[in-house]
Amino acid sequence: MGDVAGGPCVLVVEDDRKILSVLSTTLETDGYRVVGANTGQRAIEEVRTRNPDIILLDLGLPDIDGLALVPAIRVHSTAPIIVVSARGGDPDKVKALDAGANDYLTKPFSVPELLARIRVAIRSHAQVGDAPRTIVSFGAYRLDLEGRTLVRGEDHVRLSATEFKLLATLARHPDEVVTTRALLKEAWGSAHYGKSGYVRVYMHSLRQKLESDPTRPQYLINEAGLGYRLRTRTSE
Amino acid sequence: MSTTITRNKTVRDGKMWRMSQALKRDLPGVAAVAAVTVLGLWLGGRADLTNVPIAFLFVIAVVSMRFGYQAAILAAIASALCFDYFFLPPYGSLQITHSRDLLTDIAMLAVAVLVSTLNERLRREARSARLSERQAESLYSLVRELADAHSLDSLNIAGMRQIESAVAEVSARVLIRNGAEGFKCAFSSGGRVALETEDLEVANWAAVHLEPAGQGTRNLPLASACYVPLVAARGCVGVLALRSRVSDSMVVVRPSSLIQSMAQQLAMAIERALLSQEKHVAEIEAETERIRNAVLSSVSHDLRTPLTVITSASSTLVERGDRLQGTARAEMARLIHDEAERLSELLKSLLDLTRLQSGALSVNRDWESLEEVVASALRRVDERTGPGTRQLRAHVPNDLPLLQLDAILIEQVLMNLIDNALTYSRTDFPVEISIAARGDRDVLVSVIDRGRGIPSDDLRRIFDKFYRSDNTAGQGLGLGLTLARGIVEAHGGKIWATETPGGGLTVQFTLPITGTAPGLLEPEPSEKGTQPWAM
Repeated sequence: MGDVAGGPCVLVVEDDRKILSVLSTTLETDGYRVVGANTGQRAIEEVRTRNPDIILLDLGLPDIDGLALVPAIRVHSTAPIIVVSARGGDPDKVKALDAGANDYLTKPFSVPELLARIRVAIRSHAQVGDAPRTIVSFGAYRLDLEGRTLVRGEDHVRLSATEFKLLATLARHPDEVVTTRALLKEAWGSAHYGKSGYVRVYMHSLRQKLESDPTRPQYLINEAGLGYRLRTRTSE
Repeated sequence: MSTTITRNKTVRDGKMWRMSQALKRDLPGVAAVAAVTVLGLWLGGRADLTNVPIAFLFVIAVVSMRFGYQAAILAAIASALCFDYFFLPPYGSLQITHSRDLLTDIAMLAVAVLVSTLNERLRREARSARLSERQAESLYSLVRELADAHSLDSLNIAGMRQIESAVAEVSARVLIRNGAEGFKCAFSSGGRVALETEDLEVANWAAVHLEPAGQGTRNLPLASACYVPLVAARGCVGVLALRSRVSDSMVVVRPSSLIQSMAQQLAMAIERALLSQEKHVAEIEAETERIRNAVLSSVSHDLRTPLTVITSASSTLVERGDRLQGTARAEMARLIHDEAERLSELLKSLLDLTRLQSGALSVNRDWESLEEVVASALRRVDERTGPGTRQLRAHVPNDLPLLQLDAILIEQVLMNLIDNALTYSRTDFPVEISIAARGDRDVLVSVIDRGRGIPSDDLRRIFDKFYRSDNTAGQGLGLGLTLARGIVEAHGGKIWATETPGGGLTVQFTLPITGTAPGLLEPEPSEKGTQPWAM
């Protein structure tokens, strides 16, 4: 049962008792404290009283639309939220990410994947908590958000203004999914919603500059139908 | 009250109209006779009487040719009277003294009747020839239009357009009737229209009695339109409603022979369309039934196998987990995991296919980069098989245009094709994914493996539901390729399979290039933080 008192607290919002039980066992084995909530109402109460370090939120809940729960949780907590959805192409996933969720998982997911996502989310949240990061490293690259430079080893990589903005937006949330919509807003402003083609075009040129094989990207990972993820850790 | 007033008014208007029509017809003849009389008197016709009757006869002949039988008879009577009164002594009286003069009068009348009868007959024949030619043309173009129409809607709209162009000043509608349920929809030349309650009663009478009704017929003649039943082999399939565009109530639409022939053609065409619709529905039902059976037998086999493994392995763990050695326990757990994943993939394919076929799986097109879709498919295949276990090579050109597609669905297509290729290819050969734009028409995606391939006779059938080649004693429902075909076709593309030169299977699909993709909008690279959108 691991170190029940000391580990980070995970709130698992899930209405299926069996899934909740498996998740609890797995997470506790890995040293987390687990709090379960089987309704949206319970979830909000637990967020208020227990102040969890991370929230695992199933989008299909009996009482409240999981999507509406994201902003409701955000009122009380800044803890990272990982949404769990049953369908691969679920449009609610994008909405949840835009509403303030930090990452997503699709059912059925593997335990190592779940643990990796939780670790990433907790770590990047802790970093945000400390001080805004100005240097983000991935592979041989060092991105200086303040100095607006990207260096590979010793070499300066020349980026256009838009490319830099896109890369910087991804780097501010390392290893998390940033939706295409969020990227559009960051680089072009909210007047350009719906023009995801722009993002694709500039991500293509970014990949040409940063990736050795653009069809097997190491850093700029595309999540079909969702957005992009800047991978800063290669083996998780 | 108001209706009687209008009726009286229209009746009066009708009389006036008829009188003016008669005047227009008869007046020229009488005037011509008067003119000949004056001319005859002026040229001294009284002295030489032989030419005057000939002049009158000439006038009568011309009048009969130009204004018809009735005008000619009137002109003949006028001529006889004028001849008597002005040219035969005693002048200024209708008295006839010589029997020879009486004979002239009678001859003049007889010639008038003869000439006008002949003329009238000629004119009638010419008119009927013209009419039947026009009717034949109208019918021919109706039949041609009806043959070209593919749906009940297009057929009826084309039919109404043809009828309106063949019958002057008439607006046509067709009310489609379903034997037991009555009228279900109506069409005008402009498209589908609402059923009007004022049509239904008389139309229903016509449909039940299989006889024209309403205006211009003996049945319910006070109706505002003429209703012609469309009678086909199975009975009345609808009713044609013809309404005059002229507001004058004296202009009545009659079910002419042309209209009846057109109605007959339309009835046959509607019946054909209904039959093919019913046949289509029956085919779909049979196909659905066939699929259901195939799914049942396939599902019971393909779902039961992994379930059996899971149940037995997990029960072993539950019952005697503590007696198993560490490796054996791990092996049991791995079996459960693998089979559960297989079940999960199977269910996903099955669900997607059902959704795609029922139309519930919507295609969300957006400007997407095929390079990204390929990358994401490769990553997911790697996640499943473990990275680097199998060689996968992708060739994506640098300048590939963005395409309008649903990234999630196309990723699914690629994954299904790659999975297939990995399953059937020889492990020592890489599976290749190659992409090429073909002009600005479409993009061709090829997934190439070097396995045993598939007999050439079966190349077409591999996309059919639950097809599995004898060569491929593999696992999983034969759904991956069917799903791929459904998705590609939903994108307006084509998918097909060929033999890889040197052995193996190549599956290729196209995705059309539509519209203009957004391009790079700023100079490359710009060092300073310039705002490209502010320029």
